Amino acid sequence: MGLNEKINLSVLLHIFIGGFVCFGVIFVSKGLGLVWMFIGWLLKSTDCIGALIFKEAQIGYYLITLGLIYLPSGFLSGLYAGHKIKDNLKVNLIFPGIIGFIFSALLEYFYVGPKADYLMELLIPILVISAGTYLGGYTINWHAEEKLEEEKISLLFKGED
Amino acid sequence: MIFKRKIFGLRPPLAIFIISMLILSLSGYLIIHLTLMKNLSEDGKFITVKTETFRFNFPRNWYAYPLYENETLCLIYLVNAESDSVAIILYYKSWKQIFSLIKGNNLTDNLSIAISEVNRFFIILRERSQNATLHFIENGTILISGYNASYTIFNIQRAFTTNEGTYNITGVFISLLMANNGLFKIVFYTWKDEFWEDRYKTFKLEMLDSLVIKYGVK
Repeated sequence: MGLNEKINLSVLLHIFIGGFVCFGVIFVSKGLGLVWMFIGWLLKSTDCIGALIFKEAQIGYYLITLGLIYLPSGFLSGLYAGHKIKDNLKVNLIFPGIIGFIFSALLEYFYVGPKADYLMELLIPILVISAGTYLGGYTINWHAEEKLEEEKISLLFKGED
Repeated sequence: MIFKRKIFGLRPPLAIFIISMLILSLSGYLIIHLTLMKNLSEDGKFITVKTETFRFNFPRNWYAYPLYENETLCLIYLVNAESDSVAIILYYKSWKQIFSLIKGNNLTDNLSIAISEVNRFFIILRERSQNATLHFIENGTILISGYNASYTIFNIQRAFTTNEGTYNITGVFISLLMANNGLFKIVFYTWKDEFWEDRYKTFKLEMLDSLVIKYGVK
């Protein structure tokens, strides 16, 4: 019972650290404006920056932020969580990304204010971050699945012998 | 039978991540580029913006905040390519709003609207920079889409201070009140005084002269 409690606390700790990793990446890339600096430079270099006046171009910019901010933040948090937590990944990988996003959303709420569009500012980023977390978690654990398959195959051949 | 469990030599989740990242980024950039192409002027140097009431061009390498438009107001905010000047177009569509603005500030004509707005801008700046001083350099009339508008050129000394130093602002405020088409307020200013003539010339030629006012207020 004591050992199980230790394991659960350890899992919780790694989930929170994974969440912090996610928050950190969002803070550096979005909060400090690193991704905007890159996109701004790219659009200025190609003389496209004026297009941002239009709503359609804002949607394009939004897709870029999904690809360069939210997906990688989820992926990196999933890499950490997947490396540290080996058991029950399907359940445990839900949380780091969501925790990280909640911290980031709270910080933004206090500094910038509430968002008008809940779908684009909350729901879609959470989904993208969660997808990234799973991709990260399973990237780091993929060789374990390969080994499991190889062991099954070798057991099968031994059985036939 | 051993199944190949790699995509392009990478673990599938990693490959899916990279592909997803590329798809999102490239499709986003493509949408921006296509939007630009759709709204480019004939010579390819300017972006044409069309609202319900007016249209104008601005240089494609100027940064533009998203256009804001509702039933009563239209707001456009631009920063020039050198990032040292700002152009703002504020268009009031609602007569109720225009009326309360004029009556509330005892304004009588285009010039008084322009001067009042410059004073308001100066008061806001002086809250942060106590030593700021305002000078009106020139007043006059200017043609905007065939209508007579009034303008005032102003200079604010010691307008604001940053780590890099203290800046003066030189700008122009244009006001156009039309019987059927609402109220246009156009302001352009720079915090690089030494470039004022050049910046104002660019603004006038490349943006102001392209402004076409189309329809009446509903």
